[in-house]
Amino acid sequence: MTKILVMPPHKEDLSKILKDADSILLGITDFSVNFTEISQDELKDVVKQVKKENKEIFISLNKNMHNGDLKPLESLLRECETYKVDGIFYYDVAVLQIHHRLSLEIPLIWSAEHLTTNFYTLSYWEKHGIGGVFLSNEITKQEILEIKKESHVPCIVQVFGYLPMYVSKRLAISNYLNHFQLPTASKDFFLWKEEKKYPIVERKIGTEIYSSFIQNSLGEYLEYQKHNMEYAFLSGAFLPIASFKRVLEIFKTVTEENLEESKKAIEKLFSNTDLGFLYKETVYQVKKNEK
Amino acid sequence: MRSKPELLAPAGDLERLKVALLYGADAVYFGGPAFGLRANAINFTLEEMKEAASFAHQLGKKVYVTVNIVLHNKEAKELITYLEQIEETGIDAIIVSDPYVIEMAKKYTHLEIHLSTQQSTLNYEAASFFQKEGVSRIVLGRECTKEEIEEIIDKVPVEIEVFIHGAMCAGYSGRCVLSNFLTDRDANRGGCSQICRWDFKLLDEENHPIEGERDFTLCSKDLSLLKYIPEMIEMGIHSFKIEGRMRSIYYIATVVSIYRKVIDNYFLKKNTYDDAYEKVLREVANRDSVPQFFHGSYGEDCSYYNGREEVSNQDFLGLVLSYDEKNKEALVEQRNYFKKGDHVEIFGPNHEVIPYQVSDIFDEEGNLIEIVRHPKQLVRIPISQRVEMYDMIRIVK
Repeated sequence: MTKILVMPPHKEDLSKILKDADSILLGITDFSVNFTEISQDELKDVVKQVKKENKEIFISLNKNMHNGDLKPLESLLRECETYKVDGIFYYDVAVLQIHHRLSLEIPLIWSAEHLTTNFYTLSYWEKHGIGGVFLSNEITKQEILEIKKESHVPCIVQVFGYLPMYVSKRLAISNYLNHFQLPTASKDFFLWKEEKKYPIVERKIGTEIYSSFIQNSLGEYLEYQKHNMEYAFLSGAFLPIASFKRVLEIFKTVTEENLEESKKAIEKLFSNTDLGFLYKETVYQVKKNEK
Repeated sequence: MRSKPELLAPAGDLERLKVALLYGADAVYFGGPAFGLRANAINFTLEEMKEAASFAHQLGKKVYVTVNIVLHNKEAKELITYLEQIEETGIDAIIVSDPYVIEMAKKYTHLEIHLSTQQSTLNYEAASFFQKEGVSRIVLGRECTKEEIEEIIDKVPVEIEVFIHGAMCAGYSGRCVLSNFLTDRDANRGGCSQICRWDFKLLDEENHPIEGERDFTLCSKDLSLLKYIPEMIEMGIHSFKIEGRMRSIYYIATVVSIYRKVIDNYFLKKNTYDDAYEKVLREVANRDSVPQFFHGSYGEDCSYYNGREEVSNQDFLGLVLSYDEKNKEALVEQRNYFKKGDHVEIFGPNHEVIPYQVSDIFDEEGNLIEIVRHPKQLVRIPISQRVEMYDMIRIVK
C-alpha cells in the first residue's frame, strides 16, 4: 500500500486534512526549509493530535546546519524521539552524525532534496542506517522506479504540489526592498519572468523559491502503487485549503477507471499543473567537449 | 608561526594550468572528461591530465581533479573505471561531492579525496562525519563565518580549504536547481546557466510589481578576502581557493600573482595589503567584490543590482611568447587592441611590474605599424628590460 503523506498549507489546516492523510510531514521553525512549520513548543501537542487519529507524523529538520544549530538540534532530536515522531527528514549529515552519537532509534529519512538521484548513493546511506529516502523531483519516472526497485528502505516521492527549486541563506526579498527603499505590507511574494510566476518565501533563516507549476502526477501515483512505493507526498504549500482538500479526496479515490475524470477535476481546480521532470531528462552538457 | 597555506587556482585548460602554476599557485584544480561540475568548460582529456600532473610535479606542485557531479543511476555504472583511469594519470587528489564516489574511490584507488563545497559542509559534526569516512580535506561551504571555520578547525582533524576569491553561488551549493527548471540544464551535473544573474519582477500578494530602480535579482557580488589573508593564515586554514575554471589566463595570472604576493609578504613580515592590489582585482573581474559571509554579513551590500550591464575586461593587451635578448625585443600575441604610445604594464611571475610606454611596433614581416587590432596578431615590440614567456601586458588606466 502506498501511504499518502501530506503537508498542510498552514499549520492551522492540519485538522482539516488529517482524515484523508496516512501520514503528516511538517517542519520546525528555524530548523526547516520548504515545509509548513510549527514551533518547537507546539511539537508535543501536534504529535499528540496526529497520533490520536492513528496517523504517522514525520518532522523535517532539513536546513543547512551551522555550528550554532548543533546543540539545539541535539535537544530537538531527543524531543522528537521522546514524543515518538515516526521519522526525521534530514538534509545535513550533522543530523545523522548526532543521531548516531546519541544512539537514537527514531528513523532518519535521507531528504537531500535535489541530491537523492541514484540508488548507488542510496545504498551508501543505507549502510549508514537510514530508514528511508525522499526522492529528488528532478529525475525521471524511470529513474524513480529503478531506485525503488533497488532500495532496501521505504521510498517517498512527491506526487502533487509546488516543487522547491532554491534555498539560500541570503534574505533576498529584504535586501531588495531595503536597497531600493520600497515599503510594502505584502506578506506573500512572487517572482515574475517570461509569463511565469514563482512563489518566493523569506524566513529568518533564508530565502526559498518554488516552481511556477504544480506537479500533478495522479496517473503516475497509480503506477507507483503497483511498484509498492511506500509513500506518495502531497504538498499543500501556497494552495487554498478547500482546493487542496479536494485534491486529497481525488488521490484517495483515484482508480484506473476514473483516472481521466479525476485528472480533469484537478485541472479544473488549478490551471498550472505539469509533470515536471518525470518524462524530461535535464541536459548538462550543451557544448560538445572538443578535446 | 603557522605553516604556509596552499594557494589553489582553477585551470580551464593546459595553458591556464601552466599560467596558474608559473604565477604562483601551489596547486590547481580542473575537470576531466566526465563527472565534473563544469560540463561546458573545455575539460582535460586523460592525456592532458597526465601532462598536467607531470608539469606540476616538476615544479613541486599538485593537481586535483573534480569528480563532483550528482550522480544518476546510469552514470554511476561508469564511475569505477573512470576513477581507475584518472588515478593512472598521476593526479594528486580528486574533489568529490557525492558520498558514493568517496566509497568507490576508497575501494578501488589510492587517490586522496577532497570533499567538494557542493556538499555545503558548514559545521563540525558534518566535517567530522566526512573525515571519518576518509576524506583528507574539506572545502567548506561559502556561508561559513570566521568563527565557524575556527571552530571546525579546532574540533576536526582534517585539512580545511576555503574560497578566498571569485564568483559566489547565490544559494547554498547543491540546493539550487533554478537552472533545471528555467532552462532544462542540470545545475548539479555541470549545466548551471546562472539564473541567479537574471532579472525578475518582484510581485506582491496581489500580483502588483514592486519596482525599484533596477529589477529584482538573486545576483551576488563576488567574493574577495584579500584583506583577511593574514587572519586566515593565523586560523590554520590549509588551502586558499580561487574560483573560476572558465576564466581567462589574464584573470588567473592577475589574481594568483596578487594572492601569492600577499601570502609571501605575510611570512616575510612585509606589508600584506595595498589598495592597488584591490584595484587590480576589481578591474580584472569587472565586478564588485566583498568579504561575503566571512564576517557574518550577507545583507544588501552583498547583492548586485547592476542590471546585467557587465562589460568584458579589455585591459589585457598581449601575451609575451618569447624574448630576444640580442635585439631586446619581445614577441607578443595580441589579446586586445593597443597602439603606439599606450601606457602599459608588463607583469610576470619572476619580476616586479614593469611600467612601459609602447614605442615601436613591428608586424611579423618586420614592418612598422601603429595599431595592433587583430585577435592573436603576432608583433614584436622593443623592451630594454628582460621579459619572459607567459609575461602579460596590461593597459594602465
